[in-house]
Amino acid sequence: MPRVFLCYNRMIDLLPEMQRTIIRMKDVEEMEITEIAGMMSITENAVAVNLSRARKKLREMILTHQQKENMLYG
Amino acid sequence: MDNIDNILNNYFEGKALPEEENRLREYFRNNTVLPQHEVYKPMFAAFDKEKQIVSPTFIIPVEMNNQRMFSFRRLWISAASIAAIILLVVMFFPFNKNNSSAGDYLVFINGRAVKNPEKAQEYADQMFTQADEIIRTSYKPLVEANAIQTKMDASKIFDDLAHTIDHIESLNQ
Repeated sequence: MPRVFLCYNRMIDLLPEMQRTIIRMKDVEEMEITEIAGMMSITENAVAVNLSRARKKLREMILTHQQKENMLYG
Repeated sequence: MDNIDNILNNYFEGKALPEEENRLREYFRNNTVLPQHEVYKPMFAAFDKEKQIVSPTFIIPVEMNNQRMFSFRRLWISAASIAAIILLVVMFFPFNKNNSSAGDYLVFINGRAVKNPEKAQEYADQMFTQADEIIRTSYKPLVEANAIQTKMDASKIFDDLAHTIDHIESLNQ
């Protein structure tokens, strides 16, 4: 498996369990919010909030990672 | 491409519609990604890559299928063990503990209710001592045996009979 995928998988693994599960269900399994809420026995709003937090954290991690790479390799 | 920026913002806010998310996925799968969006491309690629990973399937050999029988046997052994433990607890656990407590203790001695077990025990010991004393002083088995033996002495009985016969014969003469 290429190094870049391992890196992003590791970033997802750093998320809290609930956010990690929801982002995998939404972005990997491509499930609907309603389906996820039903499977996890939580409200759709809770799914949306956790999904938003997970994606924002992931974006922060990506941007930080990008900045470090730019500093190291120009 | 402002539209993509908006969709990307909605995506990170968790507000993107399903069709917008599909459009984003398609956009990042193509090679026409703008330089400012390049940073997010590996993330969507990682999602796609993870989607392709098929979880491994394990085929249990036929000879390993006796696992179920083993489980059934283990279940049976567990049930038997639990039953044995319950039996031991029932046998040795003092369930009647409350019945023997001083509060519930009640015996009647000579028509009088006694609630204190120590007093009852003391009274019982006293009664046994008195009974033993009465038996020991009033019952003399050797004396009574000697009396019976004397009374039932055969030679004396025959002597008495002979004497009675002699007396009757003398009266007839």
